[in-house]
Amino acid sequence: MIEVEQLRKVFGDVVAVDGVSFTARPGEIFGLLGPNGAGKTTTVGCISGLLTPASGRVRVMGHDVAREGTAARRTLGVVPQEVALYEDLSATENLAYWGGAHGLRGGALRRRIQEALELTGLQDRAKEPVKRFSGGMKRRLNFACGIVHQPKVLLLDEPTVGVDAQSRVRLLDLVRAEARSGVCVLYTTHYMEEAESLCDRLAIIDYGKIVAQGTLAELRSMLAQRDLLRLTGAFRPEAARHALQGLDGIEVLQAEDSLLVLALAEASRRLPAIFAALAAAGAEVRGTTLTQPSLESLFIRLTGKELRE
Amino acid sequence: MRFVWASALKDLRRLRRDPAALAVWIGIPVFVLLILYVVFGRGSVMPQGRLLVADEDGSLLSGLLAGAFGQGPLGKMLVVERVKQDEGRRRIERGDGSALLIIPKGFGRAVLLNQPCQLKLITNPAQRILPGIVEETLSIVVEGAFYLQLVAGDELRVLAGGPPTDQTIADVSVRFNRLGNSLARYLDPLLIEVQTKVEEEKASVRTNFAAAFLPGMLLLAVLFVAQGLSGDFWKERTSGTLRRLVASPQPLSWFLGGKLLAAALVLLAVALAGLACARWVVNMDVNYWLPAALWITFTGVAMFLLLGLLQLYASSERAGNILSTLVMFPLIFLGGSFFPFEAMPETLAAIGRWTPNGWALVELRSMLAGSLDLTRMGAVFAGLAAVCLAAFLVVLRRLRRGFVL
Repeated sequence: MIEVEQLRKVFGDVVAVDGVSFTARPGEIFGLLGPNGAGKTTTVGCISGLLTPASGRVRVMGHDVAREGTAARRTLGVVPQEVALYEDLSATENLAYWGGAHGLRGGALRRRIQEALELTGLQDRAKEPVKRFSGGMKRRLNFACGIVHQPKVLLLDEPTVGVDAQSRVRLLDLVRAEARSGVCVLYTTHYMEEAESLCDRLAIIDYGKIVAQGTLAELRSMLAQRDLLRLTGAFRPEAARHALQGLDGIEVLQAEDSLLVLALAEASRRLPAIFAALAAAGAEVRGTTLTQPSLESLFIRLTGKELRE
Repeated sequence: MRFVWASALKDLRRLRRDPAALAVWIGIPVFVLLILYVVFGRGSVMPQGRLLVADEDGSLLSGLLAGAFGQGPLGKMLVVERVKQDEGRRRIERGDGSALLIIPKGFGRAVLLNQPCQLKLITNPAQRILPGIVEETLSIVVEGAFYLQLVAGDELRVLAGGPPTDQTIADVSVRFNRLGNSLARYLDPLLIEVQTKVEEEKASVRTNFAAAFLPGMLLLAVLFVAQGLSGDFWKERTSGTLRRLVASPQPLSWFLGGKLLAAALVLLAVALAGLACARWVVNMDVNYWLPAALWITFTGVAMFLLLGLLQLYASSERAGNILSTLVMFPLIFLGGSFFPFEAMPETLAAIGRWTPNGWALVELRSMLAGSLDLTRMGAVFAGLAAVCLAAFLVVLRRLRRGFVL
């Protein structure tokens, strides 16, 4: 279990994490969704003991990370954002080293290395130096090094960045398998679809603050089942807002010179009225995209902008 | 503690998979030493040069004078080559030859008649030793001619009158016989006995150039290895393995201990190989070989920590490499690792002996020469251990605070 209470981390004048609180339970995949620079990695750093928070409290399996750091880290497995491996060593040697770093020895270590290799499909390349591996294979080994010691809590910091589709699917399956075995998984990502398909519960984080959290259903309900309508073309933002105010149940989420984002119920039925109102306001609509309620629409609704890559 | 060994093993494996790095670190000093060894050989150095002789007299005596330079030990150092005066001057001007001796016409007759005559010796300003030897030998020959005139001037003057007749030869022979008999009371037995004693070369101070360079070269290799290994802190950081380690329950001190152990084992192997080479290839006397090997190892570990500290405080991997190189090269040149202290101006040598590697070199030479007593040996080891401990703590502090992130 991970318990984070009012976590705050400051780098100079920059507040990287500001009052973040959440709880991730055993057997659950808890997602931390946000754009790059939102504070996800800083939060993971504070949980893993890499960073010292300015204030707030983090407990891992009941151990306070600040006061019982070693005990907390014994229960942790970390899969960092970068591929943190020794490229000159083989997969087996990497797993042996990181397993040893978490106290595994002898037969237990050898057995777990074998299991981790089989789990990640790397048993055929176990003796090869990692530098000969493809990007996807390195990512899988990176994951294997995080779980070789069978941690109770697993921190995954954007583990699928730069991974091909096939390896991504495999990695996500591995994460699900860990959760099924009772591991508490904290998964950070900026990929909406990953968070939607993987996480049991989610926190949406932006500029160091959690703007919403709950199950996927709970978060979707925040949109009140409204569609997201994205219009591209040439607009005068204020005139467009004014024109759309006359139509019932339409919320303007974003208004720019070339983009309008609207939240409304039954959008497809109301398109003619919207076009007419915008035409009357001097706007020229060139493209239309209609999206059903999703995390992306929620993110835009909550932050007033699209998820930045 | 098991993790210290696991960390060391990991670093040794990584180094084994990158043999080119180790080859470069050790290869440069070996290459330099090899060149010195080929140039200077195993024993003491015998300079060789060329004496150009322009004999314009062509007499028996001028021939004897020119031949004198090719006799005995001088003959091993000098090749005497007869040339025309113009050619000789041209060659000396372009540096082809150690000296040009011009024997003027009438030299033989002048010597026999005890008349003034001027020999000309033109030396090559680019050379120092061989022209000096030629000049010294020439002055000895001139002095010899002077004394010969004193004791047998009359007899020599008889011979100077032209081709001798049978009567003249018989007459001069009788005169020389009488002269010999008159000198016999001084010469047999000799009134002055000169005893020549050649001191045996002391084993511990053999003037072997390679042996003079080898301890310095050993420390040069140690410096290269230490610098190369210290760069690993940045590799661990940029690859993310250092951050991953911090998220494990192992303390950073064990991780650093593992790095030190790996460095020490590599350095010990270098030290033992170097000392074996000194003993069996260069025929150097190697006293206290085990303390010497440990001393080299500890020196390397201290340098690894000190250069590592520079790496850890640098703003980037590149800056770390530049910074450690900027510090290392003056140390190499000042600290006797490239030029022996004996070949340096005394002021620079005095400064060099106070550099870390210079101090280590002085102590290493004392150990190898067998002139270090056990009390002093204990003291220098304790001093070095204190340096290592202090550097270890500072490196650890820097690793914990700031460098990991």
